Amino acid sequence: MARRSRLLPRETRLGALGARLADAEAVAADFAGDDLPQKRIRTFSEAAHDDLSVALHVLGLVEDLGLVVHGPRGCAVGADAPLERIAVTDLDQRDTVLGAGDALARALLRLDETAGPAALVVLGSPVVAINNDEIRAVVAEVADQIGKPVVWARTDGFRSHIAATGADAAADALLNLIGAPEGEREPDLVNVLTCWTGAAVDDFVAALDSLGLRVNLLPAGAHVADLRRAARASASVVLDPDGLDALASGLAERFGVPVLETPPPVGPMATATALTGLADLVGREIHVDGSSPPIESLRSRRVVLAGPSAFAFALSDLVEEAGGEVVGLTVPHLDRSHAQNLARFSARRPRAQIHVGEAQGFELANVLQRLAPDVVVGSADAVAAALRLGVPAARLDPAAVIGVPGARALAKAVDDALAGAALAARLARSSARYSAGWLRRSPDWHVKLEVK
Amino acid sequence: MSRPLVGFHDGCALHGALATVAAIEGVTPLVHSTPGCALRGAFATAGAQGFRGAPIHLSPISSTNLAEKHIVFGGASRLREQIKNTLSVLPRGLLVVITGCPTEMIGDDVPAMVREAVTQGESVIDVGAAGFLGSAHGGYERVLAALAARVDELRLPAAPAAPGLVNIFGVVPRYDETWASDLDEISRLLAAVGLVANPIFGPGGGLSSLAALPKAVASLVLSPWGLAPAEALKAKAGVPIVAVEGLPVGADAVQDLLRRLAAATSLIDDAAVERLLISERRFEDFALDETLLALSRLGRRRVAIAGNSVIAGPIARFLVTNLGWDGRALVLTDEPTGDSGLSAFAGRVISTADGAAVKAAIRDAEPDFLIAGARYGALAGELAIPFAPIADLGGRAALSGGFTGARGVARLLAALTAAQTPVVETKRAAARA
Ligand code: SF4
Repeated sequence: MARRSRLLPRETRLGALGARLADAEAVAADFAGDDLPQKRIRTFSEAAHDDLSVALHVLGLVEDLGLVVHGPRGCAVGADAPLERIAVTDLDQRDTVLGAGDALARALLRLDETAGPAALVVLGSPVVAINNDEIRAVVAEVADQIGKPVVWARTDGFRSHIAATGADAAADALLNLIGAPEGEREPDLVNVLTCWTGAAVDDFVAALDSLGLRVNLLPAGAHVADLRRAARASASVVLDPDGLDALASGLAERFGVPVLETPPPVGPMATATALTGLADLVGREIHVDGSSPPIESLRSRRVVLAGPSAFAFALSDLVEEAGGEVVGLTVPHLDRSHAQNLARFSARRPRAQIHVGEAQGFELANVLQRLAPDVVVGSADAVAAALRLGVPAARLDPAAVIGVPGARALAKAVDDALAGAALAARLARSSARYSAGWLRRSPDWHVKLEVK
Repeated sequence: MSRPLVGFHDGCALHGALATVAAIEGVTPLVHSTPGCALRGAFATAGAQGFRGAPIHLSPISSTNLAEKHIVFGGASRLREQIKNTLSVLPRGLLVVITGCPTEMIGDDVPAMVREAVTQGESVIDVGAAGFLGSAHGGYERVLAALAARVDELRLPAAPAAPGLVNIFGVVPRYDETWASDLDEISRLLAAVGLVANPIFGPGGGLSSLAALPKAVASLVLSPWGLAPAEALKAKAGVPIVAVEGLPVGADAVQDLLRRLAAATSLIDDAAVERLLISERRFEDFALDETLLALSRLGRRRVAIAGNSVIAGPIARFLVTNLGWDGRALVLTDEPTGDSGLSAFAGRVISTADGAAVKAAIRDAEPDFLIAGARYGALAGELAIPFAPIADLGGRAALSGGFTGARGVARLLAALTAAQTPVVETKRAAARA
């Protein structure tokens, strides 16, 4: 099949929404039919992320991959990777007029010389996308010259308003690095796809080890050689579906590596489901205790959860199992891949509010003050927004709740938030970040259906 | 012609302009560009939050987040809508529209949109800060020069009279990481001699600070990046410029700075200066006494220093003139243009934002001590030399860092004497293990 020259944005591929506020029932209805939901846009927005930042983050996790951002210098800011592995063509005003193919070749060669990576990837910036600069030919030429794989992550900064499209561009680049499949399938090799690392992820990997499986963890901490191994694995399990679904499905489509269809293993029950499913997939037997003890501090508490979408749904299951009431979810985007979880959540809590929007603090502030939950748990910015309104809140990073001990991590976060409410009380006395007029307005007053 | 940068320092002009505007209380930045432009800059200075969600350390950043249709058909009407709604969602003050590369390339008529808002009585200004125009430090220079040049168009509340007001220019919020501590310490030093600092940024600054710019008796310029705004004010309101070579690290540098300010303003009380200098020297003596044992153990060092010009040069000068160290290399990572006048304090002075070139310069100098951003710790480990980090310290450095005055010297001495040789796992060591 001829490869598409443009990557489909999540909006087109999965009907992704990046702006929406309604109760769960209404949002679930957006995704219930065959048609893609109608796109909504903001008439006011705070600064948002783009595909380039997300792709830089994902690709930067591969430890021996060199990253070249083709654009002015600011476009290369923001990767978590060590700076030694990142180059930027540093286009100036003249290059924006005349084009800068030479600059790209020079940057690739220089990074190859200074960092000696196993492979190189070029990420496009808005500037080269607007100029339509040639990247593909330069990439092919340099690859020939240095005898190493050089691939292109097709980011541009503006064709999609869903930053996770950048994860798809990164996945496409990683899959292209694998090239043609080599070697036999390895029956005991399983890919664990994660951008998250930490003790909970290590424990999950250890659980797979105990099943007699060898784990190929990627892209976090992986090497280019591990990508090639990934094509020989017998299955993939995805810890971070919003970031890595496209990588998993690409491994399935291009290399026949099946994906375990299961929500992220957050807490005992989901972990038991994932481990059992994986054991089935590779023909092993396993028993995991999926029971989740109630969390005393959560009993009858009204909770708002914030985080990556698939993770937030998984966490909501855990909160409800533990006795809490989820009254709101705030997630960066929703798309068809979330439809099932959304329907299930809506059946359980049809009136819970779903807020879709990343980095839109004004919406969060308005929604949270209306919901007035007992506690907010999840991402850093939602926690900060809650604390500034005087609502107890605690961070809970996805990496901390992977696996059976996830329930304990949740309990600790909630206990700490409630016991440490003094911080919320103090921050609520600081000056307001949004106008009183806005906080009185309907929180989706500025979100409109897009007129085509 | 562009040149590739590897592991570079700083951000783009838009990032510097954004950091500058966002550090002035009462001023709202509105970034007119594609998504990603503003947050890349905002998160680059965030420390450990990671690049997700909104940056919680900054006030809200309004942004048009242009889509493909705006790139194709123009984004001016989107900007009009965003200006109007920003004024209703965010607290009122001054709105600064900062344009990024994409909007400069598509040629949106931003001034026209801003004029519309201004004619309706709003306080709005636009500044072109496309990333391809230069570095974050250059963005600071651009935006502050524009604010200074057009200060009376900004409809700011009238500034109260402040005799002895001194504008402080050249310390770039967040990109010069110890900015808040340094501005605070400069303010304290000036207050001690009867002057009033106008730091513009942080809790000591704000809208009234901007309004007061033309009323100052002098503009104190601490790095080349502060010269353009100071010159704009000189041209506009005749405010004299006092330029020094970086932050005053140590009592001697404080004395020099006050001498130059006194010559320009004739407002400084000599007796107060004497009292301040005595107290600064006593503090510095105390710090030297406290660390002398460790300093003598450390011995005379052949030092390489890499950092922004506002601080790296002054540290080199202090180490050479007060500790007798040998300055082997001084790398100015904010790439100031022109002669830094620092060759007396280092065998080699280079100006580069390229991380690989910084490393090469450090290696070439064969130092036995390294002072640089935390990211160069691994290099010190490779070279097996002690290392004192002065940057890449995360946002906390703004609160508790700073190398200004005798107190800054105390922190510097503490860092030097606590410096350790980072342990690196060399391939050979790993193989042995
Ligand atoms: S360099 Fe230009 S396109 Fe890149 S982040 Fe800066 S303003 Fe945006």
